[in-house]
Amino acid sequence: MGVAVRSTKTESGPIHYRYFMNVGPQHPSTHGVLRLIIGLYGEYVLSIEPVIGYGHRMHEKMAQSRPWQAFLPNTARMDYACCLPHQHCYLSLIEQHTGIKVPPRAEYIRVIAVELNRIASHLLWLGAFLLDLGAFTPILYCFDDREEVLDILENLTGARITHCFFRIGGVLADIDDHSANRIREFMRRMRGRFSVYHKLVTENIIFIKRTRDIGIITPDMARRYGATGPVLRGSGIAYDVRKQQPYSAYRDFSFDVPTGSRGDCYDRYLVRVEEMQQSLCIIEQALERMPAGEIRAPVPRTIRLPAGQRSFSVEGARGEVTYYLVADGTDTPYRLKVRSPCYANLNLIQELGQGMLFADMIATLGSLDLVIPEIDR
Amino acid sequence: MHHTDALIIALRTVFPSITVSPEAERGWHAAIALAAEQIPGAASLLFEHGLALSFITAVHVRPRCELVYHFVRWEDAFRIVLHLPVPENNTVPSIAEIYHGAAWHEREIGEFFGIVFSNHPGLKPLLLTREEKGLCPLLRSDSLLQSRENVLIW
Amino acid sequence: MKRYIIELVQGGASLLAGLGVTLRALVAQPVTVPYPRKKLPMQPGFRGHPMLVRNPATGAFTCIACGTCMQRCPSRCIDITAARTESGTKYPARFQLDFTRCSLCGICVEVCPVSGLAFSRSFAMPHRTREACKYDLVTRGEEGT
Ligand code: SF4
Ligand code: SF4
Repeated sequence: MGVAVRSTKTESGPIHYRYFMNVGPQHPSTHGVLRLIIGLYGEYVLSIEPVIGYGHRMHEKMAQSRPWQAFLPNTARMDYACCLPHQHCYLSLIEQHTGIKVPPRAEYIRVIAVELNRIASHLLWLGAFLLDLGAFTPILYCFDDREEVLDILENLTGARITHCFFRIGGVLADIDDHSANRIREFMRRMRGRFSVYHKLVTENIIFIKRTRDIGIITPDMARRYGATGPVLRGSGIAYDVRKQQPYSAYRDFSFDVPTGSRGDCYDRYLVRVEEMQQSLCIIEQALERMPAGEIRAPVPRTIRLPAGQRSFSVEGARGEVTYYLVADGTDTPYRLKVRSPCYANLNLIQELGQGMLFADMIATLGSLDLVIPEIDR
Repeated sequence: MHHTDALIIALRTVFPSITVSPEAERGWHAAIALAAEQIPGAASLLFEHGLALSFITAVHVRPRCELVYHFVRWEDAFRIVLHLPVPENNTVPSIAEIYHGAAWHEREIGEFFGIVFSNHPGLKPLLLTREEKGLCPLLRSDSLLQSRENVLIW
Repeated sequence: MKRYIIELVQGGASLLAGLGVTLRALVAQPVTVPYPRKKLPMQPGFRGHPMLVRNPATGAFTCIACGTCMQRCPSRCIDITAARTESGTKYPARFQLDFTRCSLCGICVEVCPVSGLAFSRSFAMPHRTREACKYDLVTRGEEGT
């Protein structure tokens, strides 16, 4: 961290010092290569200016220079903590655009994989968030559970983080009885673990003091910045693409969309923990009602993208993921725009952080669940 | 759906060219083509009706780039798209005053497509570095350029 | 004042409850393994780098050096030199995989018309140089890795 001092003499008396402090680009609490230029008055934050783009790889350019199949691995490299929703979104967009129908069993497998990924992502966030607040123990419990999810996903998709599992018209591998039993076993284990988290975190007085009424996001602020996901739901707005605009097989499942009431860090924490439980519910229903049949529809060898535009949105672990495609009739997209939720969620820290104590700002930043490669793209 | 109607009626009085598709075949329920000077007004209208900004992007077509604004209403995921052909002077009014989140999207478009936004709070590069100014990576070469009618179909 | 004391007591109790969780973990079995000495079993579904498949009957590679995988690989990390046997069938004389660039997407395995590629199960592949990451799958396959 570098510090610069600039002094201003005010008319009414004493000299006010305004410090400029760099947090990052390589700082543990930014969870990636994010730099924040923070103007400080003592311990109080006067201004925050995020500087992003350190991990910029121009995925959108890559998308429009190669056939659309070649973009499939890229979708796993934006949001490294929860990549399957990105892949789901991209493939659903292509399938809708070319009129390819996905067999119901494949959709169910997709939903199960995405929800497992969401749980893994929220567990990672939970551990990292508490680490930001100075609690070292919980991340070990989170990683213990996350390990189980990653093992299941590894067995299913072949990779632990950068899954490339969905394919046009279906998925790569089936969930057989053995995998289904493993997932059930994990669900039993995970359901028992929530009481541990509640004892360790939810009821912990230090945690409550650090997060209650800290970083309050009003619905109005969320709307001006376009925040989505748990950040928005923590402010009491039940906007979840899975519910409002059901895609894939989500129409078949009943689940709640948890919301907070105050919009502070504590509410965002509660929303994410409750979301994990809801994800377990969805997985349970999906395993129970899994239809038999194909896991991959027969598709033509070469698929051209008909001229025209289309967008598709899914609910990622951090909010609404939207892919917007403009095609010109060849097999290469003319333009592909990726709307990443963290981009908007980070944006609002500029306004939200003003007037906070520095330590509270770090807590708030952690509660936004940022994945920097997704912002930089 | 009553709410939808109020919004659409309000929009139709200002933009008679609005197309509405309740099924959202292309991913959005309504689309409007408008001119550059209309965008701040349209954005305020949408803001008053409680829509949130999803994202802004641009597409390079012949004759000039086209801006695409996506808005969404949280209650029922009603999505609306605004299409805005960039005028000849390459300048479009910014909507960052109304939707603060637009500032970053506009900076990104500024560096990727070289479009200038007037009244913007600070149009510096966002994802690229200062040295890469004027690179405009998403502009297509002439041979790869399609005309507007061929690709921006809705 | 009363509220303060209640909060103090409740807060203290919550901290003790948290400590209880930690203490229980202290006496429980460890969940980690001392890695180099003990290894966890590999997941059966794990996908390592692509490797050439042999025909079980003849022991020869089934690959016919058609070049589809080379063409479709998004990272362009496959490079094949084809050769012909006396009878005229094509085979890969050299099948280079640049593992520094492979994203393990599996597209090559999927597009191969004769199922000539499969995922290996090797995962611990440290190398000292960049060059060493360029595998020739023809010879690598013979080494049995
Ligand atoms: S796995 Fe993917 S990146 Fe690797 S060689 Fe095969 S096609 Fe190329
Ligand atoms: S591995 Fe398969 S796709 Fe690749 S060259 Fe050989 S036969 Fe063709």
